Amino acid sequence: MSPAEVEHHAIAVHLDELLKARGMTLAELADRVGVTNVNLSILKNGRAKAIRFSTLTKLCEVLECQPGDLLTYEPPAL
Amino acid sequence: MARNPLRPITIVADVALTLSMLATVPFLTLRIIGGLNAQTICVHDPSYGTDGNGLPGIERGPGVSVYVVGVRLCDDSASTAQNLLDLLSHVTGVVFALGSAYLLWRLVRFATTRGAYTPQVVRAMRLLGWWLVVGSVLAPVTVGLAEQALRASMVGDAVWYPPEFPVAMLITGFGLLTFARIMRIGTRMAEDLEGLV
Repeated sequence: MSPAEVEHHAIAVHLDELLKARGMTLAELADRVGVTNVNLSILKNGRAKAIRFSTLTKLCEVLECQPGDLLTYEPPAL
Repeated sequence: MARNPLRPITIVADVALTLSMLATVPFLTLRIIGGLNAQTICVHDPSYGTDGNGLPGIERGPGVSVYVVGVRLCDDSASTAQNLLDLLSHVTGVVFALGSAYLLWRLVRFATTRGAYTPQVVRAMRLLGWWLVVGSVLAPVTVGLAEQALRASMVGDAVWYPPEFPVAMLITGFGLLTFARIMRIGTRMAEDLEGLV
């Protein structure tokens, strides 16, 4: 995909902070949520284009958080 | 384990290209190297016909009539221009067939090595589609014009015969162009799915 086709977005993923706060590793979370390490890593690094409601549900269940704790909108600085 | 969806067309494409190469490369080489200095050039002329009831060796049933349709015109002192026209009338169809086999093989190779839902496959499919559409029209017209010119060089009142277009090939070409558009949508969907968690 050419850089021009990469969709721009301003959603920040706070998986790192939540993992640290829960003392959990990415591999452990992936195992408990039922997604691959690779996919979770894509989400953590902000390279995911979309997230399934089912994945979000599992993440919130395991991390005991709300979707807003995981995802926030960060408007670009002017 | 799921079966490889490309397997049937891979076999067809490999066999088609191999047979096309084996059949056409020696032919093309011989025609191009030795085709411009042939002494005798012949061409079929379907405009002449005659009563064939008297032909020996044909046992006619009751009420059956025999007609001879078409003659073979030959020039024993063929010019270079006639040689070129003869070459054009024979080589055009061969080049079209060989090109089609190669473009099909190339399309299948891209799909096998880079994945079916990739921009390369879409481009290769569109190219094959255009080749079939344009070639299905151009090749018969070229052959028809070359044969017409040959006939005109041998007999004064050569009649123009409209070429027969390979309709199935033409429809296949348009079908491939349509599928290329569908595949382009599929490719975008596949790219989106890659980023879906």
